[in-house]
Amino acid sequence: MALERTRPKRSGSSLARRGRVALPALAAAVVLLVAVGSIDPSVLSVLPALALALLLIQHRYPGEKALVALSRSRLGEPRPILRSSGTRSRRWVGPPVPRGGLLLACSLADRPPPLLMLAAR
Amino acid sequence: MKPSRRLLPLAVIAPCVLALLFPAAAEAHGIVGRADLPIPVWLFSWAAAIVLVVSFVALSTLWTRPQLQTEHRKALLRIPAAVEVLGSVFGVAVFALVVYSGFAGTQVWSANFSVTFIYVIFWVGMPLASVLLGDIFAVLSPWRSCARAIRAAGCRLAPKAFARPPLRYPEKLGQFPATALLIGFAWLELVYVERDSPEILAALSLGYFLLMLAGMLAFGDEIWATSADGFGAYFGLLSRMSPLTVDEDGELYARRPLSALTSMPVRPGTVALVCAVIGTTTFDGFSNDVVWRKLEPHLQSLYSGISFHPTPAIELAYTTGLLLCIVVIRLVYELGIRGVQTVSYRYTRAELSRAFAHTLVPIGFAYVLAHYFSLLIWQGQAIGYLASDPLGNGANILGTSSYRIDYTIISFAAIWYVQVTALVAGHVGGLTLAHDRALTMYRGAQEAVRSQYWMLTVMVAFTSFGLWLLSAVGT
Repeated sequence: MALERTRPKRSGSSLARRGRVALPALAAAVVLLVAVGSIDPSVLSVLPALALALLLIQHRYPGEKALVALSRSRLGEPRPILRSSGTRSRRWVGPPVPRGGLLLACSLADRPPPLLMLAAR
Repeated sequence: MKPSRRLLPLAVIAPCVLALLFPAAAEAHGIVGRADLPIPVWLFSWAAAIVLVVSFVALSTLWTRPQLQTEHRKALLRIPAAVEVLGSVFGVAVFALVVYSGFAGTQVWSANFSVTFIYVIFWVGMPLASVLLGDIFAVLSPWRSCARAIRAAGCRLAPKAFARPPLRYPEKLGQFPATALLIGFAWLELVYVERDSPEILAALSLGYFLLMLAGMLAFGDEIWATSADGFGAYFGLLSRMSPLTVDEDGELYARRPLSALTSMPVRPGTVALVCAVIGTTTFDGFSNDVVWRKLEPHLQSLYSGISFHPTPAIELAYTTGLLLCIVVIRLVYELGIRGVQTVSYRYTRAELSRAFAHTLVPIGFAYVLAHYFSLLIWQGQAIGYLASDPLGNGANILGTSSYRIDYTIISFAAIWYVQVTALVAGHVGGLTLAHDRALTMYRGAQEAVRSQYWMLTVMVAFTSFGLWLLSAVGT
Protein backbone atom coordinates (compact mmCIF):
# COMPACT_ATOMS: atom_id res chain seq x y z
CA MET A 1 0.00 0.00 0.00
CA ALA A 2 1.55 3.22 -1.15
CA LEU A 3 1.90 5.93 1.38
CA GLU A 4 0.08 9.10 0.42
CA ARG A 5 2.08 12.23 0.84
CA THR A 6 -0.22 14.96 2.02
CA ARG A 7 0.55 18.61 1.58
CA PRO A 8 0.32 20.53 4.83
CA LYS A 9 -2.55 23.01 4.92
CA ARG A 10 -1.67 26.65 4.75
CA SER A 11 -2.24 28.16 8.11
CA GLY A 12 -3.52 31.69 8.64
CA SER A 13 -0.25 32.66 10.25
CA SER A 14 1.76 31.70 7.16
CA LEU A 15 -0.58 33.82 5.03
CA ALA A 16 -0.18 36.66 7.47
CA ARG A 17 3.59 36.28 7.32
CA ARG A 18 3.45 36.47 3.56
CA GLY A 19 1.28 39.56 3.80
CA ARG A 20 3.73 41.17 6.18
CA VAL A 21 6.38 40.85 3.54
CA ALA A 22 4.09 41.90 0.70
CA LEU A 23 3.09 45.27 2.16
CA PRO A 24 6.55 46.75 2.63
CA ALA A 25 7.70 45.21 -0.64
CA LEU A 26 4.86 46.78 -2.57
CA ALA A 27 5.25 50.15 -0.87
CA ALA A 28 8.97 50.11 -1.58
CA ALA A 29 8.34 49.14 -5.20
CA VAL A 30 5.88 52.00 -5.73
CA VAL A 31 8.21 54.52 -4.09
CA LEU A 32 11.12 53.27 -6.19
CA LEU A 33 9.18 53.37 -9.43
CA VAL A 34 7.96 56.90 -8.74
CA ALA A 35 11.49 57.96 -7.82
CA VAL A 36 13.02 56.69 -11.05
CA GLY A 37 10.14 58.15 -13.05
CA SER A 38 8.92 54.83 -14.45
CA ILE A 39 5.39 55.46 -13.32
CA ASP A 40 3.30 58.56 -13.11
CA PRO A 41 3.05 60.17 -9.64
CA SER A 42 -0.73 60.01 -9.99
CA VAL A 43 -0.37 56.35 -9.04
CA LEU A 44 0.29 57.67 -5.56
CA SER A 45 -3.43 58.48 -5.42
CA VAL A 46 -4.30 54.83 -4.96
CA LEU A 47 -1.67 54.18 -2.30
CA PRO A 48 -3.98 54.80 0.73
CA ALA A 49 -6.53 52.29 -0.53
CA LEU A 50 -3.80 49.82 -1.35
CA ALA A 51 -2.17 50.14 2.08
CA LEU A 52 -5.53 49.65 3.80
CA ALA A 53 -6.39 46.63 1.68
CA LEU A 54 -3.04 45.00 2.34
CA LEU A 55 -3.40 45.48 6.08
CA LEU A 56 -6.86 43.95 6.07
CA ILE A 57 -5.77 41.01 3.95
CA GLN A 58 -3.34 40.22 6.76
CA HIS A 59 -6.32 40.33 9.18
CA ARG A 60 -4.85 43.36 10.86
CA TYR A 61 -7.26 46.07 11.91
CA PRO A 62 -5.21 49.05 13.12
CA GLY A 63 -6.78 50.85 16.08
CA GLU A 64 -9.56 48.29 16.34
CA LYS A 65 -9.28 47.72 20.10
CA ALA A 66 -9.49 51.41 20.90
CA LEU A 67 -12.47 51.89 18.59
CA VAL A 68 -14.35 48.94 20.05
CA ALA A 69 -13.61 50.07 23.62
CA LEU A 70 -14.83 53.60 22.86
CA SER A 71 -17.88 52.26 21.12
CA ARG A 72 -18.70 50.01 24.10
CA SER A 73 -18.24 52.81 26.59
CA ARG A 74 -20.65 54.99 24.56
CA LEU A 75 -23.14 52.16 24.45
CA GLY A 76 -22.80 51.48 28.15
CA GLU A 77 -22.00 47.84 27.42
CA PRO A 78 -20.08 46.06 30.18
CA ARG A 79 -16.48 45.57 29.26
CA PRO A 80 -15.37 41.97 29.02
CA ILE A 81 -13.55 40.91 32.19
CA LEU A 82 -9.91 40.66 31.37
CA ARG A 83 -8.24 37.78 33.15
CA SER A 84 -4.61 37.04 33.13
CA SER A 85 -3.10 33.81 34.38
CA GLY A 86 -1.01 35.55 37.03
CA THR A 87 -3.71 37.53 38.81
CA ARG A 88 -6.86 36.46 40.59
CA SER A 89 -10.13 38.02 39.68
CA ARG A 90 -11.72 40.03 42.48
CA ARG A 91 -15.23 39.14 41.40
CA TRP A 92 -16.34 35.70 42.48
CA VAL A 93 -18.42 34.11 39.74
CA GLY A 94 -19.24 30.72 41.32
CA PRO A 95 -22.68 29.59 42.63
CA PRO A 96 -24.14 31.61 45.57
CA VAL A 97 -23.65 30.25 49.07
CA PRO A 98 -26.35 30.66 51.70
CA ARG A 99 -25.19 32.62 54.73
CA GLY A 100 -26.46 33.36 58.24
CA GLY A 101 -29.96 32.16 59.10
CA LEU A 102 -30.49 30.78 55.61
CA LEU A 103 -27.38 28.64 56.01
CA LEU A 104 -28.75 27.22 59.27
CA ALA A 105 -32.16 26.59 57.73
CA CYS A 106 -30.65 24.94 54.68
CA SER A 107 -28.44 22.69 56.76
CA LEU A 108 -31.30 21.64 59.04
CA ALA A 109 -33.79 21.05 56.24
CA ASP A 110 -34.37 17.53 54.91
CA ARG A 111 -34.60 18.87 51.39
CA PRO A 112 -32.95 22.29 50.97
CA PRO A 113 -33.99 24.61 48.08
CA PRO A 114 -31.93 24.45 44.89
CA LEU A 115 -29.03 26.87 44.59
CA LEU A 116 -30.58 28.74 41.65
CA MET A 117 -33.58 29.68 43.77
CA LEU A 118 -31.29 31.05 46.40
CA ALA A 119 -29.44 33.08 43.79
CA ALA A 120 -32.71 34.69 42.71
CA ARG A 121 -33.43 36.01 46.24
CA MET B 1 8.79 46.07 15.83
CA LYS B 2 7.48 44.02 12.90
CA PRO B 3 8.92 44.85 9.47
CA SER B 4 5.62 46.04 8.01
CA ARG B 5 5.11 48.40 10.93
CA ARG B 6 8.56 49.80 10.40
CA LEU B 7 8.07 50.33 6.71
CA LEU B 8 4.47 51.56 6.64
CA PRO B 9 5.34 55.09 7.79
CA LEU B 10 8.08 55.08 5.17
CA ALA B 11 5.55 54.16 2.51
CA VAL B 12 3.37 57.04 3.60
CA ILE B 13 6.07 59.69 4.04
CA ALA B 14 8.33 58.84 1.12
CA PRO B 15 5.90 59.87 -1.64
CA CYS B 16 5.37 63.24 0.06
CA VAL B 17 9.11 63.80 0.12
CA LEU B 18 9.31 62.75 -3.52
CA ALA B 19 6.60 65.22 -4.51
CA LEU B 20 8.50 67.99 -2.78
CA LEU B 21 11.72 66.96 -4.51
CA PHE B 22 10.11 66.71 -7.93
CA PRO B 23 7.25 69.21 -7.89
CA ALA B 24 7.22 69.66 -11.66
CA ALA B 25 6.56 66.00 -12.23
CA ALA B 26 3.78 66.04 -9.69
CA GLU B 27 2.14 69.15 -11.06
CA ALA B 28 2.47 68.15 -14.68
CA HIS B 29 -0.42 65.76 -14.35
CA GLY B 30 -4.10 66.37 -13.96
CA ILE B 31 -6.20 69.44 -13.64
CA VAL B 32 -3.47 71.24 -11.70
CA GLY B 33 -1.99 73.05 -14.64
CA ARG B 34 -5.37 74.35 -15.71
CA ALA B 35 -6.64 75.29 -12.27
CA ASP B 36 -3.36 76.41 -10.72
CA LEU B 37 -3.93 74.36 -7.60
CA PRO B 38 -1.27 74.71 -4.91
CA ILE B 39 -0.80 70.96 -4.38
CA PRO B 40 -0.71 67.96 -6.72
CA VAL B 41 -3.85 65.95 -7.31
CA TRP B 42 -2.67 62.88 -5.47
CA LEU B 43 -2.39 64.90 -2.28
CA PHE B 44 -6.09 65.70 -2.64
CA SER B 45 -6.62 61.97 -2.84
CA TRP B 46 -4.69 61.44 0.39
CA ALA B 47 -6.56 64.26 2.09
CA ALA B 48 -9.82 62.66 1.00
CA ALA B 49 -8.62 59.34 2.42
CA ILE B 50 -7.84 61.06 5.72
CA VAL B 51 -11.33 62.61 5.80
CA LEU B 52 -12.81 59.17 5.25
CA VAL B 53 -10.68 57.62 7.97
CA VAL B 54 -11.65 60.38 10.42
CA SER B 55 -15.31 59.85 9.48
CA PHE B 56 -14.88 56.15 10.05
CA VAL B 57 -13.41 56.72 13.52
CA ALA B 58 -16.14 59.22 14.40
CA LEU B 59 -18.86 56.85 13.19
CA SER B 60 -17.39 53.89 15.06
CA THR B 61 -17.16 55.75 18.35
CA LEU B 62 -20.06 58.22 18.29
CA TRP B 63 -22.67 56.53 16.06
CA THR B 64 -23.39 53.56 18.30
CA ARG B 65 -27.05 52.98 17.50
CA PRO B 66 -28.77 52.75 14.09
CA GLN B 67 -30.17 56.14 13.09
CA LEU B 68 -31.15 55.69 9.47
CA GLN B 69 -33.22 52.53 9.55
CA THR B 70 -36.44 54.55 9.82
CA GLU B 71 -37.22 57.74 7.93
CA HIS B 72 -38.56 59.83 10.86
CA ARG B 73 -41.04 61.62 8.63
CA LYS B 74 -42.48 65.01 9.48
CA ALA B 75 -45.50 66.21 7.55
CA LEU B 76 -44.94 69.59 5.90
CA LEU B 77 -47.90 70.37 3.66
CA ARG B 78 -50.40 68.86 1.29
CA ILE B 79 -49.64 69.31 -2.40
CA PRO B 80 -52.77 70.01 -4.49
CA ALA B 81 -53.63 67.32 -7.03
CA ALA B 82 -53.49 69.96 -9.76
CA VAL B 83 -49.73 70.25 -9.30
CA GLU B 84 -49.28 66.62 -10.28
CA VAL B 85 -51.48 67.10 -13.35
CA LEU B 86 -49.57 70.24 -14.34
CA GLY B 87 -46.25 68.43 -13.86
CA SER B 88 -47.40 65.58 -16.10
CA VAL B 89 -48.60 67.98 -18.81
CA PHE B 90 -45.32 69.89 -18.60
CA GLY B 91 -43.30 66.66 -18.92
CA VAL B 92 -45.26 65.55 -21.99
CA ALA B 93 -44.99 69.03 -23.57
CA VAL B 94 -41.21 69.17 -23.11
CA PHE B 95 -40.87 65.66 -24.52
CA ALA B 96 -42.93 66.68 -27.56
CA LEU B 97 -40.67 69.71 -28.02
CA VAL B 98 -37.54 67.53 -27.82
CA VAL B 99 -38.85 65.17 -30.50
CA TYR B 100 -40.17 67.96 -32.71
CA SER B 101 -36.99 70.06 -32.51
CA GLY B 102 -34.90 66.96 -33.21
CA PHE B 103 -36.78 66.18 -36.42
CA ALA B 104 -37.70 69.65 -37.63
CA GLY B 105 -34.83 71.78 -36.32
CA THR B 106 -31.35 72.44 -37.53
CA GLN B 107 -28.99 69.46 -37.40
CA VAL B 108 -26.24 71.55 -35.79
CA TRP B 109 -26.16 70.08 -32.30
CA SER B 110 -25.25 73.29 -30.46
CA ALA B 111 -28.18 75.18 -32.02
CA ASN B 112 -30.79 72.46 -31.47
CA PHE B 113 -32.82 72.25 -28.27
CA SER B 114 -33.01 68.45 -28.17
CA VAL B 115 -29.30 67.65 -27.78
CA THR B 116 -28.58 70.04 -24.91
CA PHE B 117 -31.82 69.14 -23.20
CA ILE B 118 -31.21 65.37 -23.33
CA TYR B 119 -27.52 65.33 -22.41
CA VAL B 120 -27.42 68.21 -19.93
CA ILE B 121 -30.79 69.07 -18.43
CA PHE B 122 -32.24 65.56 -18.43
CA TRP B 123 -29.16 63.38 -17.91
CA VAL B 124 -27.34 65.61 -15.41
CA GLY B 125 -29.95 68.02 -14.06
CA MET B 126 -32.59 65.41 -13.28
CA PRO B 127 -30.36 63.36 -10.92
CA LEU B 128 -29.55 66.55 -8.99
CA ALA B 129 -33.23 67.53 -8.87
CA SER B 130 -34.16 64.03 -7.70
CA VAL B 131 -31.69 64.19 -4.83
CA LEU B 132 -32.85 67.65 -3.79
CA LEU B 133 -36.61 67.36 -4.31
CA GLY B 134 -37.43 63.64 -4.30
CA ASP B 135 -38.90 61.48 -7.02
CA ILE B 136 -40.12 64.25 -9.31
CA PHE B 137 -39.47 62.15 -12.40
CA ALA B 138 -42.38 59.94 -11.40
CA VAL B 139 -44.58 63.00 -12.07
CA LEU B 140 -42.68 64.46 -15.04
CA SER B 141 -42.09 61.17 -16.90
CA PRO B 142 -43.92 61.57 -20.22
CA TRP B 143 -44.39 57.84 -20.85
CA ARG B 144 -45.69 57.29 -17.34
CA SER B 145 -48.11 60.21 -17.62
CA CYS B 146 -49.39 58.94 -20.96
CA ALA B 147 -49.76 55.39 -19.61
CA ARG B 148 -51.76 56.72 -16.66
CA ALA B 149 -53.95 58.82 -18.92
CA ILE B 150 -54.63 55.88 -21.23
CA ARG B 151 -55.40 53.64 -18.29
CA ALA B 152 -57.74 56.23 -16.75
CA ALA B 153 -59.56 56.64 -20.06
CA GLY B 154 -59.66 52.88 -20.55
CA CYS B 155 -61.12 52.33 -17.09
CA ARG B 156 -64.03 54.60 -18.00
CA LEU B 157 -64.68 52.98 -21.36
CA ALA B 158 -63.98 49.34 -20.51
CA PRO B 159 -63.55 48.96 -16.73
CA LYS B 160 -63.07 45.19 -16.81
CA ALA B 161 -60.36 45.24 -19.46
CA PHE B 162 -58.32 47.94 -17.73
CA ALA B 163 -58.90 46.89 -14.13
CA ARG B 164 -55.53 45.20 -13.94
CA PRO B 165 -52.53 44.87 -16.28
CA PRO B 166 -52.89 41.95 -18.70
CA LEU B 167 -49.41 40.54 -17.99
CA ARG B 168 -47.39 39.89 -14.87
CA TYR B 169 -43.83 41.19 -14.75
CA PRO B 170 -41.35 38.31 -14.34
CA GLU B 171 -39.70 38.86 -10.95
CA LYS B 172 -36.57 37.01 -12.08
CA LEU B 173 -35.77 39.84 -14.47
CA GLY B 174 -35.74 42.30 -11.59
CA GLN B 175 -34.00 45.54 -12.58
CA PHE B 176 -31.83 44.00 -15.30
CA PRO B 177 -33.90 45.56 -18.14
CA ALA B 178 -33.46 49.01 -16.54
CA THR B 179 -29.74 48.36 -16.17
CA ALA B 180 -29.43 47.34 -19.81
CA LEU B 181 -31.30 50.45 -20.99
CA LEU B 182 -29.22 52.73 -18.79
CA ILE B 183 -26.02 51.21 -20.16
CA GLY B 184 -27.55 51.64 -23.61
CA PHE B 185 -28.04 55.35 -23.01
CA ALA B 186 -24.47 55.68 -21.69
CA TRP B 187 -23.29 53.86 -24.82
CA LEU B 188 -25.21 56.35 -26.93
CA GLU B 189 -23.62 59.28 -25.10
CA LEU B 190 -20.06 57.99 -24.84
CA VAL B 191 -19.53 55.55 -27.68
CA TYR B 192 -21.91 56.03 -30.57
CA VAL B 193 -20.35 58.14 -33.32
CA GLU B 194 -23.62 59.86 -34.30
CA ARG B 195 -24.50 60.80 -30.72
CA ASP B 196 -24.86 64.50 -31.52
CA SER B 197 -27.34 64.08 -34.33
CA PRO B 198 -30.65 65.70 -33.27
CA GLU B 199 -32.61 63.58 -35.69
CA ILE B 200 -31.23 60.31 -34.36
CA LEU B 201 -31.78 61.44 -30.77
CA ALA B 202 -35.38 62.35 -31.57
CA ALA B 203 -35.98 58.98 -33.24
CA LEU B 204 -34.47 57.10 -30.31
CA SER B 205 -36.49 59.19 -27.83
CA LEU B 206 -39.66 58.34 -29.66
CA GLY B 207 -38.73 54.66 -29.78
CA TYR B 208 -38.00 54.65 -26.05
CA PHE B 209 -41.30 56.40 -25.36
CA LEU B 210 -43.28 53.79 -27.30
CA LEU B 211 -41.40 50.91 -25.66
CA MET B 212 -42.05 52.29 -22.19
CA LEU B 213 -45.67 53.03 -22.94
CA ALA B 214 -46.25 49.49 -24.23
CA GLY B 215 -44.49 47.98 -21.21
CA MET B 216 -46.45 50.09 -18.73
CA LEU B 217 -49.76 49.21 -20.32
CA ALA B 218 -48.85 45.53 -20.43
CA PHE B 219 -47.28 45.08 -16.99
CA GLY B 220 -48.43 48.09 -14.95
CA ASP B 221 -46.80 51.50 -14.77
CA GLU B 222 -45.36 51.22 -11.26
CA ILE B 223 -43.55 47.87 -11.69
CA TRP B 224 -42.39 48.78 -15.20
CA ALA B 225 -41.13 52.22 -14.13
CA THR B 226 -39.02 50.78 -11.33
CA SER B 227 -37.84 47.66 -13.16
CA ALA B 228 -37.56 48.26 -16.89
CA ASP B 229 -37.49 52.03 -17.34
CA GLY B 230 -33.80 52.83 -17.12
CA PHE B 231 -34.37 56.46 -16.21
CA GLY B 232 -37.27 55.77 -13.86
CA ALA B 233 -35.24 53.20 -11.93
CA TYR B 234 -32.14 55.42 -11.86
CA PHE B 235 -33.85 58.63 -10.77
CA GLY B 236 -36.03 56.68 -8.33
CA LEU B 237 -32.91 55.25 -6.72
CA LEU B 238 -31.33 58.69 -6.34
CA SER B 239 -34.54 60.21 -5.00
CA ARG B 240 -34.16 57.96 -1.94
CA MET B 241 -31.29 60.21 -0.87
CA SER B 242 -33.62 63.18 -0.77
CA PRO B 243 -34.82 64.79 2.47
CA LEU B 244 -38.26 65.21 0.88
CA THR B 245 -40.91 62.70 -0.10
CA VAL B 246 -44.56 62.71 -1.09
CA ASP B 247 -46.95 59.92 -0.17
CA GLU B 248 -49.84 58.61 -2.27
CA ASP B 249 -52.24 61.15 -0.77
CA GLY B 250 -50.08 64.07 -1.87
CA GLU B 251 -48.74 64.85 1.61
CA LEU B 252 -45.21 66.29 1.51
CA TYR B 253 -42.89 65.01 4.24
CA ALA B 254 -39.41 65.91 5.42
CA ARG B 255 -37.26 62.95 6.38
CA ARG B 256 -33.71 62.21 7.35
CA PRO B 257 -31.49 62.45 4.27
CA LEU B 258 -30.34 59.02 3.02
CA SER B 259 -32.76 57.25 5.39
CA ALA B 260 -35.00 56.01 2.58
CA LEU B 261 -32.05 54.15 1.08
CA THR B 262 -32.06 51.67 3.95
CA SER B 263 -35.51 50.47 2.92
CA MET B 264 -34.52 50.29 -0.75
CA PRO B 265 -35.77 47.01 -2.22
CA VAL B 266 -32.75 45.11 -3.51
CA ARG B 267 -33.97 42.93 -6.36
CA PRO B 268 -32.10 41.00 -9.04
CA GLY B 269 -30.17 43.59 -11.01
CA THR B 270 -30.17 46.34 -8.37
CA VAL B 271 -26.45 46.00 -7.61
CA ALA B 272 -25.77 45.89 -11.35
CA LEU B 273 -27.80 49.07 -11.82
CA VAL B 274 -25.83 51.00 -9.21
CA CYS B 275 -22.52 49.65 -10.55
CA ALA B 276 -23.62 50.67 -14.05
CA VAL B 277 -24.22 54.24 -12.85
CA ILE B 278 -20.73 54.42 -11.34
CA GLY B 279 -19.07 52.45 -14.13
CA THR B 280 -20.45 54.50 -17.01
CA THR B 281 -19.39 57.76 -15.33
CA THR B 282 -16.02 56.19 -14.66
CA PHE B 283 -15.60 55.41 -18.32
CA ASP B 284 -16.47 58.96 -19.27
CA GLY B 285 -13.47 60.11 -17.22
CA PHE B 286 -11.27 57.18 -18.14
CA SER B 287 -11.77 57.75 -21.88
CA ASN B 288 -9.94 61.08 -21.44
CA ASP B 289 -7.01 59.52 -19.65
CA VAL B 290 -3.58 58.79 -21.06
CA VAL B 291 -3.92 55.09 -20.22
CA TRP B 292 -7.01 54.78 -22.41
CA ARG B 293 -5.45 56.84 -25.19
CA LYS B 294 -2.61 54.34 -25.32
CA LEU B 295 -4.85 51.29 -25.02
CA GLU B 296 -7.63 52.32 -27.40
CA PRO B 297 -5.63 52.12 -30.70
CA HIS B 298 -4.61 48.55 -29.84
CA LEU B 299 -8.20 47.55 -29.24
CA GLN B 300 -9.26 49.34 -32.40
CA SER B 301 -6.66 47.53 -34.49
CA LEU B 302 -7.74 44.26 -32.89
CA TYR B 303 -11.29 44.78 -34.11
CA SER B 304 -10.09 46.10 -37.47
CA GLY B 305 -8.08 42.89 -37.79
CA ILE B 306 -11.26 40.84 -37.66
CA SER B 307 -12.64 42.70 -40.69
CA PHE B 308 -14.52 45.53 -38.97
CA HIS B 309 -14.67 48.88 -40.69
CA PRO B 310 -12.94 51.79 -38.90
CA THR B 311 -16.10 53.30 -37.37
CA PRO B 312 -17.51 50.06 -35.91
CA ALA B 313 -13.98 49.18 -34.76
CA ILE B 314 -13.78 52.45 -32.78
CA GLU B 315 -17.24 51.87 -31.35
CA LEU B 316 -16.37 48.31 -30.37
CA ALA B 317 -13.17 49.46 -28.69
CA TYR B 318 -15.08 52.06 -26.70
CA THR B 319 -17.85 49.57 -25.90
CA THR B 320 -15.22 47.21 -24.51
CA GLY B 321 -13.85 50.01 -22.34
CA LEU B 322 -17.32 50.96 -21.12
CA LEU B 323 -18.20 47.40 -20.15
CA LEU B 324 -14.80 46.86 -18.54
CA CYS B 325 -15.28 49.91 -16.31
CA ILE B 326 -18.63 48.57 -15.09
CA VAL B 327 -17.06 45.16 -14.43
CA VAL B 328 -14.16 46.76 -12.52
CA ILE B 329 -16.56 48.71 -10.28
CA ARG B 330 -18.54 45.51 -9.65
CA LEU B 331 -15.33 43.65 -8.80
CA VAL B 332 -14.15 46.32 -6.34
CA TYR B 333 -17.50 46.09 -4.57
CA GLU B 334 -17.35 42.31 -4.63
CA LEU B 335 -13.87 42.35 -3.12
CA GLY B 336 -15.12 44.61 -0.33
CA ILE B 337 -18.03 42.25 0.33
CA ARG B 338 -15.69 39.26 0.42
CA GLY B 339 -13.63 41.13 2.97
CA VAL B 340 -16.70 41.88 5.08
CA GLN B 341 -17.57 38.20 4.98
CA THR B 342 -14.25 37.24 6.56
CA VAL B 343 -15.34 39.11 9.70
CA SER B 344 -18.24 36.75 10.32
CA TYR B 345 -19.50 33.86 8.24
CA ARG B 346 -23.03 34.31 9.59
CA TYR B 347 -24.08 35.86 6.28
CA THR B 348 -23.54 34.59 2.77
CA ARG B 349 -21.82 36.74 0.17
CA ALA B 350 -25.08 37.26 -1.70
CA GLU B 351 -26.80 38.41 1.49
CA LEU B 352 -24.02 40.85 2.26
CA SER B 353 -23.96 42.12 -1.30
CA ARG B 354 -27.68 42.92 -1.06
CA ALA B 355 -27.40 44.32 2.45
CA PHE B 356 -24.76 46.89 1.51
CA ALA B 357 -25.93 47.65 -2.04
CA HIS B 358 -27.64 50.88 -0.97
CA THR B 359 -24.29 52.29 0.21
CA LEU B 360 -23.23 52.61 -3.43
CA VAL B 361 -26.06 55.00 -4.31
CA PRO B 362 -24.50 58.16 -2.77
CA ILE B 363 -21.23 57.20 -4.46
CA GLY B 364 -22.99 56.94 -7.79
CA PHE B 365 -24.50 60.37 -7.31
CA ALA B 366 -21.15 61.79 -6.18
CA TYR B 367 -19.49 60.45 -9.32
CA VAL B 368 -22.22 61.92 -11.53
CA LEU B 369 -22.21 65.31 -9.83
CA ALA B 370 -18.44 65.59 -9.69
CA HIS B 371 -17.98 64.52 -13.25
CA TYR B 372 -20.77 66.52 -14.89
CA PHE B 373 -20.85 69.58 -12.66
CA SER B 374 -18.98 71.81 -15.09
CA LEU B 375 -21.17 70.60 -17.96
CA LEU B 376 -24.28 71.49 -16.01
CA ILE B 377 -22.98 74.89 -14.94
CA TRP B 378 -21.75 75.94 -18.36
CA GLN B 379 -23.65 74.07 -21.05
CA GLY B 380 -26.78 74.17 -18.89
CA GLN B 381 -26.95 77.93 -19.48
CA ALA B 382 -27.47 77.25 -23.18
CA ILE B 383 -31.00 76.12 -22.47
CA GLY B 384 -31.78 79.81 -21.84
CA TYR B 385 -31.46 80.72 -25.51
CA LEU B 386 -32.34 77.28 -26.90
CA ALA B 387 -35.74 77.40 -25.22
CA SER B 388 -36.37 80.59 -27.12
CA ASP B 389 -35.11 79.19 -30.39
CA PRO B 390 -35.53 75.39 -30.14
CA LEU B 391 -35.25 74.72 -33.85
CA GLY B 392 -32.23 76.93 -34.34
CA ASN B 393 -33.92 78.94 -37.09
CA GLY B 394 -33.54 82.38 -35.53
CA ALA B 395 -36.83 82.48 -33.60
CA ASN B 396 -37.14 84.42 -30.35
CA ILE B 397 -40.21 82.96 -28.65
CA LEU B 398 -39.34 83.85 -25.06
CA GLY B 399 -37.17 86.86 -25.84
CA THR B 400 -34.00 85.17 -24.56
CA SER B 401 -32.39 84.12 -27.84
CA SER B 402 -29.65 86.72 -27.40
CA TYR B 403 -28.58 85.14 -24.11
CA ARG B 404 -25.09 83.62 -24.19
CA ILE B 405 -23.12 81.23 -21.95
CA ASP B 406 -21.16 83.05 -19.26
CA TYR B 407 -17.99 81.02 -18.77
CA THR B 408 -16.80 83.32 -15.99
CA ILE B 409 -19.71 82.33 -13.76
CA ILE B 410 -17.38 79.97 -11.90
CA SER B 411 -13.61 79.47 -11.97
CA PHE B 412 -11.84 76.21 -12.82
CA ALA B 413 -10.44 76.01 -9.30
CA ALA B 414 -13.92 76.44 -7.79
CA ILE B 415 -15.23 73.64 -10.01
CA TRP B 416 -12.41 71.41 -8.86
CA TYR B 417 -13.20 72.10 -5.19
CA VAL B 418 -16.89 71.41 -5.77
CA GLN B 419 -15.96 68.13 -7.44
CA VAL B 420 -13.68 67.07 -4.60
CA THR B 421 -16.27 68.06 -1.99
CA ALA B 422 -19.00 66.15 -3.83
CA LEU B 423 -16.85 63.05 -4.10
CA VAL B 424 -15.80 63.08 -0.46
CA ALA B 425 -19.30 63.87 0.80
CA GLY B 426 -20.76 61.07 -1.30
CA HIS B 427 -18.32 58.56 0.06
CA VAL B 428 -18.82 59.71 3.65
CA GLY B 429 -22.54 59.21 3.00
CA GLY B 430 -21.85 55.71 1.76
CA LEU B 431 -19.70 54.96 4.76
CA THR B 432 -22.39 56.26 7.10
CA LEU B 433 -25.00 54.03 5.50
CA ALA B 434 -22.69 51.03 5.68
CA HIS B 435 -21.94 51.69 9.35
CA ASP B 436 -25.62 52.09 10.16
CA ARG B 437 -26.42 48.82 8.42
CA ALA B 438 -23.56 47.02 10.17
CA LEU B 439 -24.97 48.05 13.55
CA THR B 440 -28.21 46.26 12.72
CA MET B 441 -26.52 43.17 11.31
CA TYR B 442 -23.77 42.36 13.76
CA ARG B 443 -24.23 41.52 17.42
CA GLY B 444 -21.03 42.86 18.85
CA ALA B 445 -19.24 46.15 18.42
CA GLN B 446 -16.09 44.32 17.32
CA GLU B 447 -17.73 42.59 14.36
CA ALA B 448 -19.47 45.78 13.29
CA VAL B 449 -16.25 47.79 13.44
CA ARG B 450 -14.24 45.14 11.63
CA SER B 451 -16.77 44.88 8.81
CA GLN B 452 -16.53 48.62 8.35
CA TYR B 453 -12.78 48.52 7.88
CA TRP B 454 -13.52 46.74 4.61
CA MET B 455 -16.18 49.20 3.58
CA LEU B 456 -13.76 52.02 4.41
CA THR B 457 -11.24 50.47 2.02
CA VAL B 458 -13.87 50.29 -0.71
CA MET B 459 -14.79 53.94 -0.15
CA VAL B 460 -11.16 55.10 -0.12
CA ALA B 461 -10.54 53.14 -3.33
CA PHE B 462 -13.58 54.67 -5.05
CA THR B 463 -12.63 58.18 -3.88
CA SER B 464 -9.03 57.89 -5.08
CA PHE B 465 -10.18 56.42 -8.35
CA GLY B 466 -12.77 59.18 -8.80
CA LEU B 467 -10.25 61.93 -8.15
CA TRP B 468 -7.77 60.36 -10.51
CA LEU B 469 -10.42 60.23 -13.22
CA LEU B 470 -11.46 63.83 -12.62
CA SER B 471 -7.87 64.93 -12.89
CA ALA B 472 -7.59 62.97 -16.14
CA VAL B 473 -10.41 65.02 -17.66
CA GLY B 474 -8.29 68.12 -17.27
CA THR B 475 -5.33 66.75 -19.17
